[in-house]
Parts: sequence; C-alpha cells; structure tokens
Amino acid sequence: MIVFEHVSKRFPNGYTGLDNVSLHIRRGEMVFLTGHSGAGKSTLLRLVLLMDRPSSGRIQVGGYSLSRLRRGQIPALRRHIGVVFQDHQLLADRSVFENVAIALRVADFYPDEIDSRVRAALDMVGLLDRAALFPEALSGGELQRVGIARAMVTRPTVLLADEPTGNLDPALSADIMQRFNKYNQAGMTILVATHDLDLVRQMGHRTLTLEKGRLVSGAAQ
Amino acid sequence: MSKRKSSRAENTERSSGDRVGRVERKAAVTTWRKPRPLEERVRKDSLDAQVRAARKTARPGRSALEDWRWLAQLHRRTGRDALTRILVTPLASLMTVLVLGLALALPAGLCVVLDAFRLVLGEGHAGSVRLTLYLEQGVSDERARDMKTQLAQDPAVLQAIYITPEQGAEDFRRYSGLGSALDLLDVNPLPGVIELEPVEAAAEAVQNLHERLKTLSGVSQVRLDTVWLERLVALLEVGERLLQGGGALIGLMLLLVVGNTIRLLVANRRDEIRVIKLVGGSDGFVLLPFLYTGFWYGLTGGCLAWLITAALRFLVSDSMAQLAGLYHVPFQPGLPDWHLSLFLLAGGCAVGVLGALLAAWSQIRRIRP
Repeated sequence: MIVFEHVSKRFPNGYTGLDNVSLHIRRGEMVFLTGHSGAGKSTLLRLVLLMDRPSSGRIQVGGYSLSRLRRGQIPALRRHIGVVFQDHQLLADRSVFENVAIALRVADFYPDEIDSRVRAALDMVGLLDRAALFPEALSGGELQRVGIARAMVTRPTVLLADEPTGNLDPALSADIMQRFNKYNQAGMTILVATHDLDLVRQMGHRTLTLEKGRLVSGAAQ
Repeated sequence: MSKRKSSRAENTERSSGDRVGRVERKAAVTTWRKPRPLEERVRKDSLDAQVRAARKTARPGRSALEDWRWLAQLHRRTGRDALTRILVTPLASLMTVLVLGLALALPAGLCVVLDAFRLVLGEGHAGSVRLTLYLEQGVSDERARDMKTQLAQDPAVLQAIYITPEQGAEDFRRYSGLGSALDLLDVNPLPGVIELEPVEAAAEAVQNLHERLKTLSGVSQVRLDTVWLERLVALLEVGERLLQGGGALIGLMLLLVVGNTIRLLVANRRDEIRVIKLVGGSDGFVLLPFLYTGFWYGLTGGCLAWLITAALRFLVSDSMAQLAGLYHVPFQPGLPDWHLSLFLLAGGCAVGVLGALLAAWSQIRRIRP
C-alpha cells in the first residue's frame, strides 16, 4: 500500500529530513513510526501526503506513483488518505459539523449525502450532540475526535496520524488507539507517527524507528 | 459495477437528510468495515485514468444530469456562502462597493453628457443645416426654377427655395446696410441662389450631398455652413475617446481595487485554505468562493452605479429638456437605457470576477499545506 524506495529528503538549508529510506507497508497493516523529535517522522508523513516532494527515490501509495503525479492530480490522491494531526488542524470559524463536512465537500459529494455521512462519523466518535458547536467550545480530546471523524468520513483506504495522542491524557490516548485498532481490523491501512513508546508496546503492531532521518529498524517484514 | 450499484443504493437510502436515525447511521458506519482497496479503484497504467477513477469513486454511478444537479448545488451554496461572508463585514464591504459604484458611475455619467450632444447632433441640428447653391451669372430665371424643381425631388433634399437675383438684391438692401452701394451699379451683380435643406443632417450625408451638388452644371459655388457642426462633432469625438480611454483606465483601477480586496481575503483565510488542500481540495475548489465574492462586489457595485446614473439623469433632465426644446427635438426623461444598464451590471460583474481571478489564483497556488 505504501512503498518507499531509497527515498531521501534534503531541505534547501542543508538539513536532511530523510536519508535513503526504503520500506513497504502492506494493505490492511497498522504500523507505528517512532523516533525522537526531528528524526524524520513528520517528514515521512508529509511525503506520503505529497506536502513535500522527495529529493530522490520513489514513493508509491495505493498504486499512485507519487513522483509521476502532476500538480492537478494531488488533490485526488489526498482524498483517499485520511489524516489526523496533533494540532487538529480544524477551522475555528466553522462548526464541528462543517469541519467534518469539508472533507466531503471537496470530494464532490451531494449535500444530502454529506449530511448523513457526517452525522454517522460524528456518531461514531461520540460527538453527534456537539455537531453545532465551534472548536473553541471543545476539549482537547473532543477536538482530536473531530479530527478523526474528518479523516474517516470519506472512508479512506489509508489513515495517517501524526502524534494523535500528543496532547491527551493516557485514558484518552488509549481510547483513540482502540479506535484506530478497530478501523485497522476493518481493513484500513494505518500509519501512526508517535514518540509514546509505551503506547506502541501496548498495541503490539510493527514499529518503524527513525533516527536522524535513517530507518534503523522495522523495515523488513 | 454491482458494488457501485449497491453502494449507490446505500447512499440513496442514507440520503434522507434529517430523517437519518441511529439505525441508519450505524449502517453507514458498517460500510467502513469494507473499504475498497485503493489499488482496485484505479488503473495503474495511466495517471489520468487514476484521477478519473478517483473522482468516480467519490461520485459512484452518477449520470450527467445528476452531475449538473450537483454542480448547480455547489454554485448555489458557494454563492450563498460568499454573500454571507460579505454581509458579515458590512463596513469593509460597503466601502469596496462604494468605490466600485462611484468609479463605474463616472463613465456612465459621461455617457449621459454624450447623449445630450448626440441629441443635438442627431435630430437636433436637422433643421439648421443649409446648403446654398450660387448659380452662374448666365443661368436664366426659367432654368433656375427648373433646377429648383429637380432638386426638390431629390430624395436627399427635404426642401428647396429659389431666391432670384432681384430678391437677393432686395434682401441685401434690407439687411446689409450697404444698399446704396448697389444703386451705384448699372446691373445687379448678385446671382440667383437655391437654398436646400437636406433630409439627413448627419455630417457624412451632408458632405456627400455637398460634393454631388458641386458637379451640377450652372452652379458656380455650393456653400455649406458646418463649422459649428464640425466643432460639435469634434467635441463629441473627444468625449467618446475620453469615455473609451477613461473607461479602460477605470476598468483597470477597479480590477486593482477588487484584486486587492480579494488578495487580503485570501491572506486572511490562509489557514483555512491549507486545511482544505490537506483534505484534498483542488485549487479550483478553493478559488470558487473568491470568484463569487468578486462577483457579488461587482454586481452590487454595478447596481449602485446604475442608481447613481439614474439619479444623474434625473438631475439633468430639466436642462436636457430645455436643450431639446431649442432644437425642437422630443425628449423623454427616464431611466438609463438597456445598453447602459447592461454595461453597468455586466461590466461590474466581469470586473469583479476577473479581479478576483487575477488576484486569487496565483496566491492560492502558492499556498501549500
């Protein structure tokens, strides 16, 4: 599902984000990506989402050869990938409902279909009764769940999560990980970047470890 | 195909809006348990095919009619949202609309002035254009009368009057104050004269008639007093050039005004644009609300300009009626004609949309998630 072949990413200031990384994540697999701050976790996720282009190497996501994708084709790729961020990336001036609906609006869904899907997604994360509220009225855990609902509402095949439990207490972290586990059991490919090693050990999935941009363990499977 | 059909059926079932209950929502959730692999959704041999396939998965089994319906819904919602956003900041929006309206009203006001000139140049000066044919000395009175009869039958001539040399001398004595000078002469030196009033008063038509009359035998000179007419035509031309040049400059200025307003809006919504792009929004999807914002600014600015022009016409209607009266031309005070109305409304919309497009497109493309 996600294939990296000798991928490197060097930034204009000379900093190397990723250094000759090769990995293969199979369809339906749930993988943790760990490493210290600055190890290259976020860089790797940004490359999968085509927020950055690799300096060298090849990346494939679900049959899309990312290096060959033209600019106009990138949105179509992103619609197949759900993303959950540590800082939620929600729109402050839109309601919870609209924040989730935006992922469907960009993907050409009908308004009535958007309505039913958003309600279902919010129900799934237990926030249906908060649909009319604005993000400022929600707690950190609720915001993270809104982010998950937005990522899941398009029924993506791949879910990327960048430090999804970074600001949450252990109970909420466990709750969110259980949700990810459930989606994975339903066949979704999930890549979670985190530095919470206890959580990673508890979950028991394959772990990729990055160190100074190099993949030091977990590549082989 | 069968998968798509069943998915479509599910979607239709779930699309009952507010009636969606807990059971149906649960049914919707269960579909997550069977996501179709991305590899199966797209063909690997062609990137364009991949994109087409990806779009189809978002809109499974839709007909062309449904696509049009969806498009209409998208535009209706985007237009409404853009208008709502404008109304949320009434003062800033009002200032932009005022600038647009006043600037558009300037060329429209010039149009009103030019209309007054055209009124005089069109029907107004018809009765005041005269061609005077001075006949040769040897032309007999009988021949001169024949010539007058023939000229009166010319389709380009409205009226012809023959003035005999005797009548001419009499008039000279009466009006010039130099009548005693004629008494010193043995013979009347004045020629016979035919005065013509042309049917058409347009400068070109009069000039053509003038050229034709010059070639008639027995005519020594044809005089056309058109200096005042030529001055007025020149003034009108200057006015029209001013309208064109000034209109182009004002159009450019309005593009900059709208562009700058939209540029600020894009800058203010940078975070929102980043999020929309992150979840798969295309540059075109992001651009659309800004185009509608420009459209609303342009339309309301055009409406304001129309109102200002109508008020201007109302204000000058007395003077126009007086001017028309001097030239015996009927004048109907009223609202701006449809040409001007269309110019103001369509021009305003076009400037709004184009200004938004020019300002927002490159800026949106530069914003990266």
